[in-house]
Amino acid sequence: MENIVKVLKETKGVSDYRIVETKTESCELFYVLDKLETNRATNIEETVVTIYVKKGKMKGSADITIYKYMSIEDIKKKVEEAVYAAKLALNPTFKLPKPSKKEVVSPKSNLADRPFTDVIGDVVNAVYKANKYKHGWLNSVEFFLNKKMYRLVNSNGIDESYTAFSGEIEVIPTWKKGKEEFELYEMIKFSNLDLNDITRQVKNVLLQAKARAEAKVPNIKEGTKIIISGDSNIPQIIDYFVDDLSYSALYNKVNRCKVGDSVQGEVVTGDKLNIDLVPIVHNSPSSRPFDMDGVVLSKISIIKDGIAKANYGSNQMASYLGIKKPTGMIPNVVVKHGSKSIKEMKKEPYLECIKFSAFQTDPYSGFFGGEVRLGYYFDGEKSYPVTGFAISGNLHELKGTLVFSKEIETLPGYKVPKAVEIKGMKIA
Amino acid sequence: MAFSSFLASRHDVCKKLVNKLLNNYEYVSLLGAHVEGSTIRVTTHLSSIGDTSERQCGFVLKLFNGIIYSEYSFSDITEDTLESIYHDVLCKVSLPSSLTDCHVNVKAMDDEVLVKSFERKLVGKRLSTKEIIKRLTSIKNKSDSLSSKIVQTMTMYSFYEVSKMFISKNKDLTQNYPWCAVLHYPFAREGNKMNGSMNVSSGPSVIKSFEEVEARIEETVKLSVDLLHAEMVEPGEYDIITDPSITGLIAHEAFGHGVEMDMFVKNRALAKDYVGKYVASPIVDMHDGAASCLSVASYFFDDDGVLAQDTTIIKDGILQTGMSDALSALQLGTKPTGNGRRESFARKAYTRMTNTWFARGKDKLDDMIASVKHGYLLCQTDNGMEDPKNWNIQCVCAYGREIIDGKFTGKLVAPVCMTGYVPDLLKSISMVSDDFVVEGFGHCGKGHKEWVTVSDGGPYLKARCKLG
Repeated sequence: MENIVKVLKETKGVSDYRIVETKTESCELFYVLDKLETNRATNIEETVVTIYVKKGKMKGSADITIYKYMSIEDIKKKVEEAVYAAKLALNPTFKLPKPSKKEVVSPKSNLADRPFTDVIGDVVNAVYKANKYKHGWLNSVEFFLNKKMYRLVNSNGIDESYTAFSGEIEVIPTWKKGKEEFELYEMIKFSNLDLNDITRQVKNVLLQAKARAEAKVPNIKEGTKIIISGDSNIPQIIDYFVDDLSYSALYNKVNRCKVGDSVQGEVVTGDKLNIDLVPIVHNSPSSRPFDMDGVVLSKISIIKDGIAKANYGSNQMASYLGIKKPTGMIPNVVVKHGSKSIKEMKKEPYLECIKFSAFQTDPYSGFFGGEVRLGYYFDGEKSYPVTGFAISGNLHELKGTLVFSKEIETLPGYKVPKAVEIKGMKIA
Repeated sequence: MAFSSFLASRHDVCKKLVNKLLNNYEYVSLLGAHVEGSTIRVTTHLSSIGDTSERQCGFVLKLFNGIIYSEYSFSDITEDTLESIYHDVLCKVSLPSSLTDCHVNVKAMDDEVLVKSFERKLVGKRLSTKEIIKRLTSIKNKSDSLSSKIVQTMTMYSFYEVSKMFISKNKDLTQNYPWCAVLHYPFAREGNKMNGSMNVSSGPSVIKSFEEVEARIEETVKLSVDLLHAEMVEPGEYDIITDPSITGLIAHEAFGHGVEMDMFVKNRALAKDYVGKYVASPIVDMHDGAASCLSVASYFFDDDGVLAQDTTIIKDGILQTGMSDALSALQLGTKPTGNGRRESFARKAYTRMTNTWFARGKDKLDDMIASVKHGYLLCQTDNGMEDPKNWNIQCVCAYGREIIDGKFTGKLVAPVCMTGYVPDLLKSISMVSDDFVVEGFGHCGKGHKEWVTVSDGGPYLKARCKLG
């Protein structure tokens, strides 16, 4: 870091700079069925430097990556090339963030308490503890425990660091019915280890694989309401509203709403949205105290009772929009619970869609939907697992009808209702 | 344009590390990877210059101790750090016996003698940063000027040069090759309706990539504007004609993932039971391989040090074989096909597709369109997701053009989601055009991670499928 700073200070033409140093350590295990196939460890580092140059009222920038092997001469050559390139990519000028008085605190994690090589055995046991079914099993499981250390330095005097821990478990649950086998996909992500919760989640996906094995193509009554839950399906719907309020969407003139507008349209028959952006959420691996410009982050409300309250985004975009106090890029979206419990949602006929091959939301066309690999259909008398169909709709038209569950769950980058009820989607 | 001087400077010390570790392990190999390049963006509102997203610089060791395979990824090694790296490796990959007691049954990999250097040069000249920005700016200006409905045009130039070095007891390989891509993406708006359309070209020639994109500016802008009025398709089963992009999407997502043979090892692929059987119409041939054509995944050896191949996956509708990385082939008792790929030196190698395509046929596109009573020409890949165990399809096309009684009606539908059962779709292929386009701009994940560059494509296909 010191060598890089020295070169940047000595190189003609560098008006400002930002250095982001990342060191990563990981411990990884790869299982085929319940047998270990490969283990891995990593210990790597990378430094990305953004070089800024001034030209009148314009400012150019270029990113370069500095590796450990590079000599001072190598770094000098790269920086000089970047200065030349930055002068060719000029944008309206802006100022880099200054040091903040706010305290920078790393996200808390109990993964910091013990060496990964000790912890990972417990995680393996927690996963395979749920693997106790005659006709169902875990086909393959991958375990990742990660430690990432970030340090950000800029030419305005910011020098901040934090360390983030995270875990990922990729699970492929399989269930056999007759001669046929059925599988699902699950990625469990966490930043705070809860072994019982891991066992619970693995058991849950195994039972979902069982349901997929038993599932049939539904014969659905016209007008049946759809409930979407599971995986990152609800975050995708929420992003439709959140992305629209970014400084970037506003600056690039691709936003639908401005502050003060009803984000769900003029007629809202469902729940009115309340959305906050929060830097650190317990057990969200996306949590961080400052963004990649060094802006120290705080909680903000962007949507209250369905009305857009604030935009958010990067320091550069804020400057272009004349916003003096940029929010920075806040990593977690927190949505207030809705008006109905999941039990209440399921009182009348419904089609619940839990597992998609890939749930899609296109914020521009409004299209959302996907092929459903597992759902449940309640015809008013009985509920049974279903598969082999697709749902689609347009959020531009249906955004005012969403009814969210009272129950909340934490996912990477999100704390959101567990389920949403939607009327008017097409089923194919 | 030359092999990485950094990797070259570390060759001897890497060889020493491999030899030293051979005292502790039955098999040791080391992959060094150095990918450098730049990405330049010029949009209606901003410009930026950055490193390529493909960038990486470091090493990964693969070790076999007679029980399991282990890997260790690290950033650098010198004569001064050789001892400490050696001890780090021994320490960091060692596991308690409680974890290694239950392991897959494997042996050490074959390590045939092979010493070779490979190089593929850039075709034509390389442009300076100034020339690239001028050319991107020209594309952007023209795009913005063609319609008042274009609110933003994004243009991008990406160039990178791959250097890799593979060292084991008997192998000593190096490779070096470049790749370039140019992208134009005009974004149209009318009220709250917004839509973009992609215009991309990639290859080993910077000039050709620019020329191909520049030739399509008008049609791409027109499409972006026209798509503002696209409707959603009425769900149902239709005759479809797939453009080469969607043909590639079917080859890659619907079928290709299911013949990645690490899925055979895990018994996760239905295709395992279909080798030697019809899985497609008899007029269908499908290939994969880094040596099958020149595109973004055309390397000389894979990340396991196995030479690139052209693998025939489907011949006359019959599944011939899958593709595999070295460790999967070892467990299956087959020969690896040169498909062992890592997202970077910091990630594990898996069986991955490379350039995946359907072979051209004899039909003319006009005849194919004329044969459709009511259906759609499906165009431009949006995304797709595999389901190798159960062969369900989800392929999303950016848009479709309606055909009634053999003629385009002018109606556009967007986006279009193809669903159904893979063999049903492949067996329904009734016409294959004599065109052939493979586009090398995409990335593919394994599950929801491990992103690698891939290409796919082929001719136009006529088939029948559920759309929604």
